[in-house]
Amino acid sequence: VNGLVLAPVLVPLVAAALGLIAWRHPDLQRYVAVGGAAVLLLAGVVLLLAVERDGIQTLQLGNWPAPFGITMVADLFAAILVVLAGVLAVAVTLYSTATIDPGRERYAYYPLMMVLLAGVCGTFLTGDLFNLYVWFEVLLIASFVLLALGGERAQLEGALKYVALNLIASAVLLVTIGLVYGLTGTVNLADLAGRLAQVEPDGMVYAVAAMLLVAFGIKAALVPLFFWLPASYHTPPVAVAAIFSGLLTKVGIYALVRVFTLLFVEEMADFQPLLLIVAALTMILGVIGAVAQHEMRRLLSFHIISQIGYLVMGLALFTMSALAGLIYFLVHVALAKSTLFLVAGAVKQLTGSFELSKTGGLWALKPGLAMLFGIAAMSLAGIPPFSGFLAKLALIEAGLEIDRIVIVLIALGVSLMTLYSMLKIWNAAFWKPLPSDLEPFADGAAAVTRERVADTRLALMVVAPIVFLVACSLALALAAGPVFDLVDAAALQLMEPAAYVEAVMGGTP
Amino acid sequence: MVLTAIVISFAVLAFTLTLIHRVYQEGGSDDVDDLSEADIQ
Repeated sequence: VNGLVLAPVLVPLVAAALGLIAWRHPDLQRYVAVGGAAVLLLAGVVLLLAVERDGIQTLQLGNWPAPFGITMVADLFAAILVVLAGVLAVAVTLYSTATIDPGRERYAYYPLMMVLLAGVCGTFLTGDLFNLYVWFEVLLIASFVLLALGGERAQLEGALKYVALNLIASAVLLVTIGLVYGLTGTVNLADLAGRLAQVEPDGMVYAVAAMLLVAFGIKAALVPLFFWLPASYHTPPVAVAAIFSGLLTKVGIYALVRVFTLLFVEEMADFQPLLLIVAALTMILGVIGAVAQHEMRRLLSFHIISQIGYLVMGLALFTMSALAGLIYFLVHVALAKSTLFLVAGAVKQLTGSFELSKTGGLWALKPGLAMLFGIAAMSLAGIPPFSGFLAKLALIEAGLEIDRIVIVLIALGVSLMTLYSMLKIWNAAFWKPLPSDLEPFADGAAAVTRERVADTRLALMVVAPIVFLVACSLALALAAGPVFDLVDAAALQLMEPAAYVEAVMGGTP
Repeated sequence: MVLTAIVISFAVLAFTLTLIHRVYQEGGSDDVDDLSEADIQ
């Protein structure tokens, strides 16, 4: 019955294996990847419906009862994120079919993308701390290769920094898991929830919580551990950057939310001031970095960090409405962010550059694309009636409920600066006329002119994914009522972990 | 679990060494301060 819980992991893995079998046939690999992504989305939706109807779903691998075997668990939070991963997978693989060069396709681009998705879904669905580490490694190794694939110099340099810092995070995580196992004799998350409370002295529990905060904090790009992100995210093709920005840092946030709501509930009160400070700094430094950039991909990369700050704010406030806001915000920002990266890729196709000074005139020449960008950008900045407004409203209301005025004011200020930096892209790429004195490219291609931009038609598979993501984002805003019912229920499950523990442990203590 | 961790670490180490070798070939240095093409400007 509960093969459902495993499906979101198995589907991309099977697609990756099929893709590898079709090594010499990039065409086949494309179909397999798009098909795999579509089935993943379907599996995610079916899983979400099942979890909503029947409560938390679990699967004991190999029929070993928890806490001895590995458990896969799907609660609402995990299921929502699996659906999100499916949506982004469909959009990005479609976009890849039109934009990824044959060289990358030949060296297993699509199978790697599928392995990445399997790792992401595995992390969302596992109920075991060590298994979480393994899935993290699966997605990290896939992301290392995707980042370095193509072998351009900037890519390799970015990849080196990314790999080095993420390896440190993995090492810290592994050491922490060793400590946890030494303290409690289990790595099953549900089992740990009960046992960590009995550990004496409880200083060790704080140490473990702090180390997990560091390990997942590096992966989520929290200030002051974010340096790998702006050093690497702007180097790979935009399709890769889009899926990274949509999913990878969010996996870190997911892991933080999971361990703090399940394992360290008692310690949360002491971590709250630290998390609030980290959230504030992450928001502020991220957006200041973004405002200073003149290249679209770099600007968007810094925005990822800023938005992560809002998510940590949701975790730090630690009320039911704050967690509901966090989940809604997470879905919203993953959609909006990936859209913006894909639009940046389209702008580059049209004008030949990511540099804001070398683009322009797209409002007149490509109004459709400008509209799509406008919706995603306004949504990110939090303008009503788009999903970003509702997401920020939910977080800010949650902050006001428990009188955290300072963080609310910071969130509002950062919102304003987000709007400013989005306007910067809007002015440069869409509103101002295309510069007429553009120099020819270094490789001898003629300079971009108005006529050439007007004559360039974007491929269907470039536009369709952007439209799809914008539609999802709008749907998130239009269906806010039912969606908030869903995220409220998900947040309730997070705040009352007893149901999670019982679903995994099956009543036995 | 220890065995899994060893296998993963070995694979990642192999990848990292290859990557560093490639960076050295492309960039002519293994000093991160010299590898500034992708840096924040």
